[in-house]
Amino acid sequence: MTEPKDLRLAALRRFAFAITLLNLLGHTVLGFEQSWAAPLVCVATAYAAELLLETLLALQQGRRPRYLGVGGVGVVDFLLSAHITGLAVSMLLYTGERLAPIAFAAAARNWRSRRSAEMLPALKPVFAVRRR
Amino acid sequence: MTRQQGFWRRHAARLAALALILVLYGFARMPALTPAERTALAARFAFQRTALPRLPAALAGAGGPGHGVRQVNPSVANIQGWISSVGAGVALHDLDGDGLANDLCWVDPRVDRVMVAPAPGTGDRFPLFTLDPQPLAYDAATMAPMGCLPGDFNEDGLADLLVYYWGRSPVLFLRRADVPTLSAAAFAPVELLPGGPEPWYTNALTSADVDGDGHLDLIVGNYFQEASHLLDAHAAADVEMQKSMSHAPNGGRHHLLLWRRATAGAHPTAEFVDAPGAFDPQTDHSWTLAAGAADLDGDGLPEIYFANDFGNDRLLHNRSTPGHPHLVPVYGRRTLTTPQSKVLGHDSFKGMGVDFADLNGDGLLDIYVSNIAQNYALEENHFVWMSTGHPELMRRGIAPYVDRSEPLGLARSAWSWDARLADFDNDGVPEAIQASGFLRGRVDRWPELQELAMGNDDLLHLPGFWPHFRPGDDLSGHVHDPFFVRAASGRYFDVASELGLGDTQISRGIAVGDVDGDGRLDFVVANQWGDSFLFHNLSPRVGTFLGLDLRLPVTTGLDGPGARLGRPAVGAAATVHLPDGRRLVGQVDGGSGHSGKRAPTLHFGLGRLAAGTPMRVDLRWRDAGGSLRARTLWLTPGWHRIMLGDDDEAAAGATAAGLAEGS
Repeated sequence: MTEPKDLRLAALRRFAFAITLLNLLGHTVLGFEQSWAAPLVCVATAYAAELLLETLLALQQGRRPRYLGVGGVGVVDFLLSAHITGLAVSMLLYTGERLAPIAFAAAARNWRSRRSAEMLPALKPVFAVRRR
Repeated sequence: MTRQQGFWRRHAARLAALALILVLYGFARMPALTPAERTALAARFAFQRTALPRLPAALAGAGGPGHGVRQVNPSVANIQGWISSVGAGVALHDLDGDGLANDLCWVDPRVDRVMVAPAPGTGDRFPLFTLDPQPLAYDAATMAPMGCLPGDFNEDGLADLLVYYWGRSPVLFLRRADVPTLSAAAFAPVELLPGGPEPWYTNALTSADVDGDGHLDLIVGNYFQEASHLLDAHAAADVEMQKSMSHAPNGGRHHLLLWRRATAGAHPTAEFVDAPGAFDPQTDHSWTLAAGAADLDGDGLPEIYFANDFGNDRLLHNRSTPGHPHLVPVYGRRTLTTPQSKVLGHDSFKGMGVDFADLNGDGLLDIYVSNIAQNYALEENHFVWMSTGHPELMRRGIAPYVDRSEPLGLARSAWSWDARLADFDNDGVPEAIQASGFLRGRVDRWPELQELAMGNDDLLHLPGFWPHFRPGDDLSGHVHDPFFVRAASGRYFDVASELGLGDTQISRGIAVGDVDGDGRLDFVVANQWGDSFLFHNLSPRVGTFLGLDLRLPVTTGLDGPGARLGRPAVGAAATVHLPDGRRLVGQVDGGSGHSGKRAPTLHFGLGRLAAGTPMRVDLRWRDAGGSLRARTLWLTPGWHRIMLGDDDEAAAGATAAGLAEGS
């Protein structure tokens, strides 16, 4: 019998792969309106926010940050949630050439995921998937 | 550890997250003005609004009292409101030869008639009359006028009117030399196409000397395909809508009509010949709602900009020789931060208006384009294609323009049509105005339209798959026409409401001209299914101005009544050198835009330049023989009518005294 947690992580990885592929196709073939900078800025903002907040939380709680590898979850898996957040924001919002509003949206959206995660750490991947 | 330290420690992560988000929010906010700043910006302007007259009952004929929606082909009955959304147009021109652009030619869709009258408040110089094509073929049940382009098409010095339609090709109303008073009888209706009328659906028509032969050619952008039977309530054939919202290849054919010959007199003629293949295939079948022509690279030949609904706008670099048009599409370049549609020639935005002015002070014209850019509706952006200072790149197929609408504050307003850049307070900085609004009703149908736009392109051309847009349905039907003023920060802000121009209206065309010759530009807005209005400029504390009414000698009717006045020098370019080193540039416009046509004169706001100060003005134009000419004058602020003679050569240094006639 498979562990439920494994399934969730696998789902998250597939989602991240799928949304990355969709964005690559969108900006090369499908004709996404957003600038090429939009996904880069959103993903970078989401990563940075996720890493910063995890660092602070870990310091506060006197534990090892999860991105350093805790319970089989490495830095790549740790950032999947932020990755999906960043790409989703950049493909769903159009702000012309302005990048600040989508950076703001990526950071704010990321914080919402984290709040859910703090409340129910075990269910974080599920929340990250469902809330999108 | 104190309790306070404990608090900070417990909440450090949360507070950091909040701080991060607040900082990013700060960067994301839009610049805004304080109410006091808005009031101060608006205080420089004042306009008096007067409705244009309605069709007198005596002229209404069998048409009846008018209507609010058109009868349409049965296949598009479900989108009757959408199909009925265009037709209002207005032009300002000097029709009676009194030296002022105080005469109006406008289309009122409520009665589907083209009317000509003095602008309200400029004297009852002649009674209102209508332009009717009879005895030419015309069926009011299946045809409707869409706009009126004034110009001197037979070059006799008497202003003519070119009316374009849905349901037929345009009709020239040529001014007869033998009827002195301005009236319907003073115009002879002449088929534009010598082979007889064709079933065109024209929504863009402008004039420019495209092939550089010294005579005005006509640029025609048709919207629906020929023979759509769009306004025929008994038609058997179905109408084909656009095949895509972004790349529809099935619009009406475009035409470049080259001037061939003309005669003056009691039976005036003007002959134009179609130049087949003048446009590339994509341009040829685009859904064009506005056309503009201006010489963007200074080679004396006008480039053409087509603002297209449902497809890429097109900028065509002009490489023509007389009789041999050669127009090459040029494209902008994309960088890391450029959204796809902000590359000139690659946009999918719904172009509906175009105008030219120099906004960055580099002596090159920039291009202002209206799209659909409205909150909670469709978040496109309008365009301000700003010149990058390298017009020579056009020869290599590159459009040297980048969109600067966002930092200028002109990116968003509403569903917008004609766009105009004009200096209404003579401070040397143009204001930006737009005709806005689409379909007025009670129920907002934007969700349905968004659903349609998300649908499959292969079904879009079938009107049966469209949601209904009938009387009662509303799409951007409660917006106002913005009046953008540039603040000290360099950004434009819409102060229409502060100016008392905040009334909602459904507008299409804007004509600009100085109706009373006081140096303050006035404008007229043509409204769809409502009264149209003159906005008479009464702005206090305006700067000084230079007005140029550039004329060319006639080529026909040499001893006729128009010979003394000459014809407007459409395409002539002026560079004004101010004592502080700034250069102002402008070109006489031959009808750029959607359905509004500005007067063919040049107007430059001079700010605090003292009256009586002479300034150097360089003029460049093409004479009737097709040769480029130039002249430098020293002029003082005020209106000047200047006859650009064939006899004076590229006469640098000629003095103004004997050549310019102040008014």
